[in-house]
Amino acid sequence: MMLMVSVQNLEEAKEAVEGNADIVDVKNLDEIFIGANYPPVIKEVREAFPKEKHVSVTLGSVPEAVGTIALAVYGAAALKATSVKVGFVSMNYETALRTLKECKKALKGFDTKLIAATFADSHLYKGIDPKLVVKLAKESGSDGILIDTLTKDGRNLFDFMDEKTLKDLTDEAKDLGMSTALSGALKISNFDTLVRINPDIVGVRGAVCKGEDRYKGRVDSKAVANVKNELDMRVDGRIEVFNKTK
Amino acid sequence: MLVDATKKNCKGVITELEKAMVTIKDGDIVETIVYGIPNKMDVYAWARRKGHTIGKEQRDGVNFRITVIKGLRTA
Repeated sequence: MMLMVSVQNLEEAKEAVEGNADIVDVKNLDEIFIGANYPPVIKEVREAFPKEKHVSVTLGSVPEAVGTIALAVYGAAALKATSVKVGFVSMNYETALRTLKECKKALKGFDTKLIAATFADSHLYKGIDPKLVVKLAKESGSDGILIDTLTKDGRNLFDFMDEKTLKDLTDEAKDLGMSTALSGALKISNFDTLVRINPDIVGVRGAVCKGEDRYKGRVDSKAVANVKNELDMRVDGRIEVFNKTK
Repeated sequence: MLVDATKKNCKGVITELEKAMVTIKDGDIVETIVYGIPNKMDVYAWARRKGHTIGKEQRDGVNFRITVIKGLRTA
């Protein structure tokens, strides 16, 4: 299980890597609903680490502008991102699918992987059913899925989707050969459940920021190392999670 | 056939096992080495879903070596 840490700049990316994060995910919290960061920032982060270090790019929840999104995905690939995440909220299924198909075409010739993302709390925004993420990814030829949350009011992924639903979606995506990622204000107290679900990637930010504040705080290498260790202890069995009563 | 899935990457052991299974016939054996308990549990659950049979399991530190027999599951 890989630990993905969301960062906003090179300084945070260096803290994440120092704390042994497997993936740094570049995003921009200043834009509504988790927007994309600026190309020079992504370029700076990508060039700071060897190719083997995963640097992903988040586009966030994208608008209904298929060509624009495809071009943004192309930009992420040109910047040599390991993967690019395209998320959907207020969009119907057909448009989301068309967007992902065009994104896939835009990635032709690049190594960058396309990740389809939905949001567990999208019903709050009259958005797309998050459980459609595997179908979306499969029909569009995407390489992986991400389920995240938009609400950052203290509630997290498990306030909106239960363990069984997430496990079933994760297993279904794995059977189809996709990578699987879960995120959404996750904390160490969620790790028992997360490890039972066993996504390939667990994404965090608030949990590794000073003061656990995803907006005002900054990614801290010691907090990253602690979170990584907590995850590893559950994976290798030093902390038992499979025989616990849920 | 041996599927060593201990190397960390975004796509996990199930993808590798799915790939291996299409190359063999019912009754043939794949041995896989996986890192950690969650991946071991995934292999067991995947075998149940897909109708494969789990044979031997051997633990070596944090790695598990598991024998999977394609098909043959009747329950």
